[in-house]
Amino acid sequence: MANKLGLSLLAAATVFTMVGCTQGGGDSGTGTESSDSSGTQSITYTFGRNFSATNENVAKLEAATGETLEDNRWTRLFKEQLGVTVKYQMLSDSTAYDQKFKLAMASADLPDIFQVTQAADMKQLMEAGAIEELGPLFETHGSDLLKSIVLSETDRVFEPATYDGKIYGIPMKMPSTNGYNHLWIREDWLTKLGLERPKTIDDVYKIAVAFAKNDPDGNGQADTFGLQIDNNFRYNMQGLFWAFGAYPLNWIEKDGKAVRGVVQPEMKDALNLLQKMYNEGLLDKEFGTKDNAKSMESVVSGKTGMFYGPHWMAYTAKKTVDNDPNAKWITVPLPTATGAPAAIPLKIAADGWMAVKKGTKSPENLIKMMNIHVEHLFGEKGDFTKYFTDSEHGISDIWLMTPAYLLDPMIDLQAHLDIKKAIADGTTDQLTGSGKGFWELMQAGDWAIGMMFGPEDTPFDYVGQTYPDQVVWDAYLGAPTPTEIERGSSMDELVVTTLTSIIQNKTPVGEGFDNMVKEWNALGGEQVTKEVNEALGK
Amino acid sequence: MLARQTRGQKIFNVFNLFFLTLVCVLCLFPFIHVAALSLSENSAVSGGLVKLWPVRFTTEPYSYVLERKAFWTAFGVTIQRAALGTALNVLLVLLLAYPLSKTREKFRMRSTYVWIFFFTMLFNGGLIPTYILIKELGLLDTIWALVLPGAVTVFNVILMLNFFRQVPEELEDAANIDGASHWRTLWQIYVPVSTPAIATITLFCVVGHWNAWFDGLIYMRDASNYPLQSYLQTIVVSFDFQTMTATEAERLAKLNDRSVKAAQMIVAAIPILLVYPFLQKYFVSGIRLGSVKG
Repeated sequence: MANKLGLSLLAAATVFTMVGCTQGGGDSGTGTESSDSSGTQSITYTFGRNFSATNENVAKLEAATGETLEDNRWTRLFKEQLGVTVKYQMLSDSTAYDQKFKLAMASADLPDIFQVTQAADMKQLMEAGAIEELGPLFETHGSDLLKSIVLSETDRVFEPATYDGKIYGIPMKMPSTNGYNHLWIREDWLTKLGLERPKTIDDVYKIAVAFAKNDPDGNGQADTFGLQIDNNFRYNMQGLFWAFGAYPLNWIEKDGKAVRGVVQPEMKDALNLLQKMYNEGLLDKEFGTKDNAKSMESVVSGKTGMFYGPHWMAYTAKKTVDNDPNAKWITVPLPTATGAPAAIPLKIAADGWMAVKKGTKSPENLIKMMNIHVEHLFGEKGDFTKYFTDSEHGISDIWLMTPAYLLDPMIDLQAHLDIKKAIADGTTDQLTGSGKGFWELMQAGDWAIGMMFGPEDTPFDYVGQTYPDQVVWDAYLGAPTPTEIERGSSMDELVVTTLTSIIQNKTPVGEGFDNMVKEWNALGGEQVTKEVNEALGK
Repeated sequence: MLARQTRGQKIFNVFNLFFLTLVCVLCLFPFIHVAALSLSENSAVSGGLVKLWPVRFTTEPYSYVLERKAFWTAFGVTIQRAALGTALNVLLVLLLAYPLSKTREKFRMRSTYVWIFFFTMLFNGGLIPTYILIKELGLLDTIWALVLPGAVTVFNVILMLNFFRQVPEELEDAANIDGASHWRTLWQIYVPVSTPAIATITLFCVVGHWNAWFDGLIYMRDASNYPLQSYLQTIVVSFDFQTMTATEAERLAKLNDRSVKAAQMIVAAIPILLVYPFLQKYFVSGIRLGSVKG
């Protein structure tokens, strides 16, 4: 009930957002300057971050070294080199940050420098003239390293932060390989049942049948499922859709136009398969009401031996091993309908954009802070064991404990490639950077790291084989269009309920899907597609 | 008093007892389940293996929670808030309910005032204006932002004034004749005979303050000022996939420690459970019996 209250308040907040945004100004900090005795200028900025105020690793760090979120190895660097003092004004994660952020926008109470996580919010801020233009500052003050990291995948990364040809936000670049989806299989079950690794989606189906019917856990009961599925299958099972050339979460290019993947006919093939598996009892009948964590219970307890998911599901897979030491997980190259390699649709990954409130003094300090961040992770002063994870105290996520962060998109893949090469050469001593950090963790017995970045049958083994050759970048990266902002949620709800109902065999695939597409277009889909293509100039 | 029960009544009693016991057990189940989760190893919890009894018993989650500074800071804020807020709530309710419970002859504008208060029950300024108000008053990041906006609970005022009205007029008249002022009448006549109502309202207020999280999240910028439920909310928050970044998803997967969450919920629930039996004795409304003869 409390949650509902929060949501309705948020809805109210959104309504007011448009109005308040334009007021600008506000009394509090636009960077408070002062000079200390030595003559170097010092300045205090207030920050906004999408980060849990009660983060576990921050608590651990404080217990170990006394460092806090506002006073740690990162903020000390900013203080020493730039005279910048960090003070957080807005610190929450996920939906709570979103709520706070919209409230701050509406009441003209934004911090000096802040993270914007939603493209729609970015657009509103730019339109209202509430934030500083950063393009020229990035050009003059950004270090070569910073520029190379931000632009490493494509310069389209600035699209959502550009308005009227000017750039207003610096992307907080993340590895786009985070967008990969992998097929995870219990290899011990394959061996036990005498099965081969899957090459085609038909093999996946056959393995699912065997896992559900042939008692892979050997307890004499038919209590296993063939394949894990949850109510967010559109995201978690993307790999299965990709097998049929269906892209439920992406804009794809078709006949020179951008179209929404979820309403393309290729979806039907994937739905046919899922419906068949549902009918044959290979899937959990209650998946419609189970979120990922709930649904993964059957995987962790050893009742399901195959699932689709991103590479960090290794942390969940590890719990299976805690419960059953014989469990052996592998990931395999994504099987497809034809057996040809799958195309991997990726969005340019970023954790949002850093923006500076209009009127803040010396906005270039943001760029300089980001320079320092990448310099101490990926540059000559790079020290992974101090600034990425504190290996001395065993604390991870140090790289996140700074107001503005970004990562080299190659960080994960490069680590895997280095480790693989080092093992092959038998010289792991020479590892550097993230590879060294991960290798040390693997040596210390971190199962999940080994599972993700190890040399063979791991998620990054597959990424290494396919990135970037088989990657197809999303056809549209900009902010949601006006119609999507207005109707997007009801369009989405239509899609999710229809797809769920099709898989549960309550709606026939062909007719049900075609009706959904018609209704989707009428709801606003046609308009959104038109707007997106106009924005792309097609 | 105890007349012989008919056969029908006996059968009804048996079923009634059985049914009520069942309801009780149903209410207890979730609590026991969470308690079992809090005493189990995380991998067993994530596997859904824990039902009503701990699997691979461990007290690790509790020692982890109890060693956390942030948890205790939040705990302190909530205690402070509940004590201060409830005291203020009850005081204002009494001060308001007394005059408003008088007849129109004694207090001419009475119903106008009641309507004005009632109006605020139905309409409010909305989130943004309220936030701006709190901000301009300089209350952000102080305990007063949690206590003052809801200081007058109109619902409780109406509850209280109706209770005051049932107090026999003769009591007030008697006090009047003895020369007691309104102030004295309120504190020495009305309050002592109204303990059941006051206890009820106190309970409402304590529970309300204990459970509130949204205002803490909005009005507190510094996480060390979070009350307990806002703090818990940051830990057990349900992530929304639409707004979740990949970094968040990854962090969530790493830190999905449900046994620790369960332990924090149990520790947070115990104090408020203790309030109930403590207030229970005041619910017995026997005091007024016999104070007026005739």
